[in-house]
Amino acid sequence: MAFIEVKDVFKEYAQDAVIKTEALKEINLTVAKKDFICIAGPSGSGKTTLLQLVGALDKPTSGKIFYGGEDITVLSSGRLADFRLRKIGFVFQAYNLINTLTALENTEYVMLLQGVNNKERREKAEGILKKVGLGDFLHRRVNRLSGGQQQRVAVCRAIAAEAEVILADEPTANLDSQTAAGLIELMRQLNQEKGTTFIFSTHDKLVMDKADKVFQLKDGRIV
Amino acid sequence: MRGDTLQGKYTMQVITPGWQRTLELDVWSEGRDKTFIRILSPAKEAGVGTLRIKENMWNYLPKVERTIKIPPSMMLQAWMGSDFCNDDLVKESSLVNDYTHNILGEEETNLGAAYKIELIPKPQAAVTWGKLIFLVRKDGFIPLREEYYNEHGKLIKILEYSQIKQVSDRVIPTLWKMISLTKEGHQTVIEVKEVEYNLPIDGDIFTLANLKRIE
Amino acid sequence: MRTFLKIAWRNIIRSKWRSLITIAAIAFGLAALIFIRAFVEGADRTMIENYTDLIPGHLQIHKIGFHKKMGLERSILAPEKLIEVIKAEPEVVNVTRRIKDYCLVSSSEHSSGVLLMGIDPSTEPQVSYLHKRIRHGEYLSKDKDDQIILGKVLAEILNVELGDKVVIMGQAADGSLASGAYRLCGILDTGAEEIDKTVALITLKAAQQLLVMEGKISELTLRIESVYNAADVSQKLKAKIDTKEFEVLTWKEISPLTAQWLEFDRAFINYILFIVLLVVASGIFNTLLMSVLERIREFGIMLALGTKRIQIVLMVALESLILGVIGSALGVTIGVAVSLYFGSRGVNLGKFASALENYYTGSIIYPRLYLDYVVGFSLIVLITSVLVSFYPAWRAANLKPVEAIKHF
Repeated sequence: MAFIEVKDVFKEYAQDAVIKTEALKEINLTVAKKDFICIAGPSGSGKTTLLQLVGALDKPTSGKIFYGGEDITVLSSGRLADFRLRKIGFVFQAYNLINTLTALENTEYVMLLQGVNNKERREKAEGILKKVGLGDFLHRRVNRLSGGQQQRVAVCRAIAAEAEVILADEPTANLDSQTAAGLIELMRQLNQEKGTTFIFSTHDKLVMDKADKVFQLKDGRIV
Repeated sequence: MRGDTLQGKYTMQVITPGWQRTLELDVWSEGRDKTFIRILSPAKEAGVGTLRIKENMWNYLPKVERTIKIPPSMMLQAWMGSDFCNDDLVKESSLVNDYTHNILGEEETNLGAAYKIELIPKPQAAVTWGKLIFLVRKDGFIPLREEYYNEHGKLIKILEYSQIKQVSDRVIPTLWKMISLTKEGHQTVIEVKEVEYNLPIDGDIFTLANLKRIE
Repeated sequence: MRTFLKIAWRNIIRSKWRSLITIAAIAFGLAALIFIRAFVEGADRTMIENYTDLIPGHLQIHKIGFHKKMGLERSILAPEKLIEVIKAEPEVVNVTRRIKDYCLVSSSEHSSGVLLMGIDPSTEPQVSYLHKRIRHGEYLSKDKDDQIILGKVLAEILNVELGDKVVIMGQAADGSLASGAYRLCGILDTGAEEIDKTVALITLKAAQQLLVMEGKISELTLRIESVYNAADVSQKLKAKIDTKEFEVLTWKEISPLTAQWLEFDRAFINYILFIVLLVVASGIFNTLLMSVLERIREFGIMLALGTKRIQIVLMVALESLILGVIGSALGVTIGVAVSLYFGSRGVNLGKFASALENYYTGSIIYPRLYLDYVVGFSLIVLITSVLVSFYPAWRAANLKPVEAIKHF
């Protein structure tokens, strides 16, 4: 059984009764555990939309998405929120974090929502932050960290919360090539060590090269 | 009934649920403008005098040797605790000037056939009654009964005349009974003991000086 | 929970000026509310005390029907038993006997209607404070039964001075003409025209003789420990007295006008409360709405991460709670401080003095603080602050993560 299965998924956005945008058409793909895959394509190809569906942030207009055999398209929004909390980690292009909290507090955030106790939270968060080289920035407010550092905190947050899948939407778009490479390298490392599945979208060739598998998206279809 | 001058002795009996008193009065009056009353008995009030000239009224109290002018606001109050108010005793002139008269019909009474007359105050009249209804004996136009109604049409007091006799030069009722309908158990009975009409009266009687004089 | 508190608190700090202005609005509103209430409370209390101290006293007892229609036929025949019962009540400070009737007073120049009061000079000063308002001359004393005190305006109308003779004429209890002469020994100046123009005082004995009321009185007037317990004492007395024969009235029942004035003051305060709440609420609402709209993306991320809607609501509500708490604390401090300050110094309304004198308040008002309304108002303001945050909070909680994340 595939870890994640996307079956015959269509996504349509209706602005009003007349104008409809078909963002995704007939998407079929499977993802296995520990996969390090990339969804590539030009802007407007539907990358973000696909990630949002896989990340249980939205529901497809038709089709199904299975996680370990479980159909998440029939879950209520409340159950979906819970699903995201326990299984999924997000790294967005920018503005991933809660500005008023420190790096440590941000990393602890999802664990906090999960109900993990103080001590364990603290230990895990500190551990992962130190591991990615942010040990000196534990108590720094995140709006005073560099872009690359912020992205790394986002990754730490997901890892510390034991996400099974981390979805990254163009995580390197705002970073310079060196920092970008560093981030991808970090994700690769964590993928190897923790077995966390990574799915990221990008139109950066550098990033695509690092992935095990690449799905090309054009005009809402996989090519 | 009033005539030009009048001089007489009246008794006034005031009856209330709490007490009863009888006063003996000496009364002089000239026309409609001047009235002088001296109380002869009982002893406590003996010597008290009331003088009215037009709209002014004074009381003389021998006990404190003081003449008191009655303020206009008190003119509507009871005279000596009776059911007649200061204004009742002095107001007769207004009956003609201040009211319009309307004959309502005729009634048979035990004192003879009578006209029933309705008196409605004229708009500018300084009168608090809403209307008056008089029963007047056809024979001699002698008043038999007066009903006083307030502005809301409520009957306030009734004046009954009886014991019609020939006195001096005319026929008048000598017993006047004023019954209050608002004060339960209150009535005042005035009896005309003796009276002379149109005798010349010394003008000096109607003076403040006379008020203070005690025989 | 601590984290949510941290988020809320740091948000407040993040927009320093906005938060300060909001706190200032809350504080000022609450302080104004407290002070105005204290002021009105002070004015009311002074009015009640002044009014009852002069003539009505705290409680009055008469033959039933006397209050509606005064008259000598409604008098209390043997008050001694009643007085015993009254004195047995622990709250009663003292009770005094009075005779009251409408008469005519006349000087050599003028006559006027009066409310004649026969008072007992030995007990009256412990019940009313009329004796403190004798401007010229002296109070009545026992055995000086030929003396009279008139109100200032009345004395002017009659054009009499101390030592002059006036005559009282009226109708005695047996229907006979009552007349007596008295010498003016004192002039009463209370500042209240209704008293200074219509009241004449003689001794109880003189009144009983004049009006043939030996052994009888019109009224028993009481002073109790605290005028504000009048209703309670009235109930207790009514239980012990035959209420079919006698009536027991509190000062409020004696003067509905005064009671109405007090109600008006209360209503006035409620209007002010309402307006202040409106201002405070709109201030907080505005602040929070702005705060929420600025953070749409952040809320989107929190929701994406799996934050529950109720937790979002909590975060926003906490923000307004913190603003509310600080604002209220400040408001209470300022309000109480200002009220205490003026409470001891008094607020001088000199310019409006003449209008106020007629309502027994005098021209200096001493604001009075009471715990109940200070706490009450603070709670209302605090609760309003929190309630008003619910709409912005609900908006935030119901954002669609997908759309919110796209926000700028």
